[in-house]
Amino acid sequence: MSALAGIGYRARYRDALLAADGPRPGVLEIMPDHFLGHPALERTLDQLAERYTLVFHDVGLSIGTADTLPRNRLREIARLVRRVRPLLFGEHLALTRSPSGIDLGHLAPLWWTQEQLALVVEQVAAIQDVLGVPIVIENITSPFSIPNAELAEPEAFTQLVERTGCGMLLDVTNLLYNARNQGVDPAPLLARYPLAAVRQIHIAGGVARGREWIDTHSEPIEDSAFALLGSVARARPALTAIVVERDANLPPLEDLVAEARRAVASFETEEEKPC
Amino acid sequence: MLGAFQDAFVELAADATLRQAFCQCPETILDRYRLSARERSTLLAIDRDALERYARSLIAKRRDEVARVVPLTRRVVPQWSTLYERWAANHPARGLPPSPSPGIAEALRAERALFELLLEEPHACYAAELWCFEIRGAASRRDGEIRELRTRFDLARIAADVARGTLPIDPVPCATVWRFEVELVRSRPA
Repeated sequence: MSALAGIGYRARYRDALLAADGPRPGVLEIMPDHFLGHPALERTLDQLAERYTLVFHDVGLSIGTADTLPRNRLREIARLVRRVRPLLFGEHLALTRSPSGIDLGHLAPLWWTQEQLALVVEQVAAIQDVLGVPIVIENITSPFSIPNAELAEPEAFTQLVERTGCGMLLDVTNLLYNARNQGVDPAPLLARYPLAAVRQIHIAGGVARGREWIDTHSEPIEDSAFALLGSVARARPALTAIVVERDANLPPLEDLVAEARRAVASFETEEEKPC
Repeated sequence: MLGAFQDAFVELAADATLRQAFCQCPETILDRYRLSARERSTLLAIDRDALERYARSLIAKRRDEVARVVPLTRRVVPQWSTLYERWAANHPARGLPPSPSPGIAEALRAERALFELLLEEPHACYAAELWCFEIRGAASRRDGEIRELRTRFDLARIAADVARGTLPIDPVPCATVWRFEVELVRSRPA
């Protein structure tokens, strides 16, 4: 089965997406926070679910935090999952808040120790139990690495996948920018991740500020990000969807859908080549 | 304790005052947390320039999200972003208000503090009220919750002028109570 070509849902695209003759992405990625607890917005989500295949993408469970998961929030997400039945639920391998409750408003890298890995394994298993939908965990852009780690992130991903059975949401742009910012070749870095477990891919365009690449999700996707899709395809993952992320400088919907289709085509061209 | 390590790490990233003290006297700051020797040495070994860049990027991300909520206030107060950044750098977020938009959640968190700052000279006499007017309007449009605001000026007229590119000077006071709903804003004399 072909991977679905998707985009992240943004309110600005709502009318075009619900129009009878609008451009139609193969899948819509939904952030539950954009709808949760607001009846009018949840009805919009119902309308989207009638027309599109959905995947959920969350940024607020902070699965790396050494604290219990936010149970009320997880229950609310589970309610939304039952309501619109997304194919996948994605979260980041990161933390966004401290155990004492400070919210960073963004993703922070984890300090990779065995204790941290055991905690994440436990959290992912708990999320799987509550949501009852396949879970995919995403790699983030790391602004810096925390020293004295016991294992590297790719190995942490491999163990997480093995111990929980979760899938990986591979953000090829995050990986590309991490490689550039660390001054390493992206291809060997990519090869260290459990690519056979990739169920969803994110791809986006960012900017360079000084010597640092930042995933602003504000620019068209560059060719080198498309090129990495081929390396993933050669691992023959059971891929469900490729989703283009765009948060700023939003282009017309048809342009974004075209980028998503190009990404799927890049992936499948390589996938179809003989081993 | 991983939890203590994360508390220290996140607080350093989120609190500029703490970070400054950490740079001057790291051991004293880390004494506040129940850290193992390894956790302590790890925090001491984090690249401080990278941590500072990361901390600034967190503020910048939130600033950009809030900026999208208050386009008119930004026209009236060009130095708005500096005011917000200074405030946010020393006020880590503890439990944001529930909102379907991170920008609105952060704007609601900052509303009272920046209202106070915008009341001061040299800002326009209506700048503080315009800030609240935009935030509450955006929040109610997004989440459907009804909000009210009492102002000294006719903010609807001022907002329309600013949107057209005209910055009113010394507008005539017109005390008004605003009621923000999902699809409209009602007003009545205060």
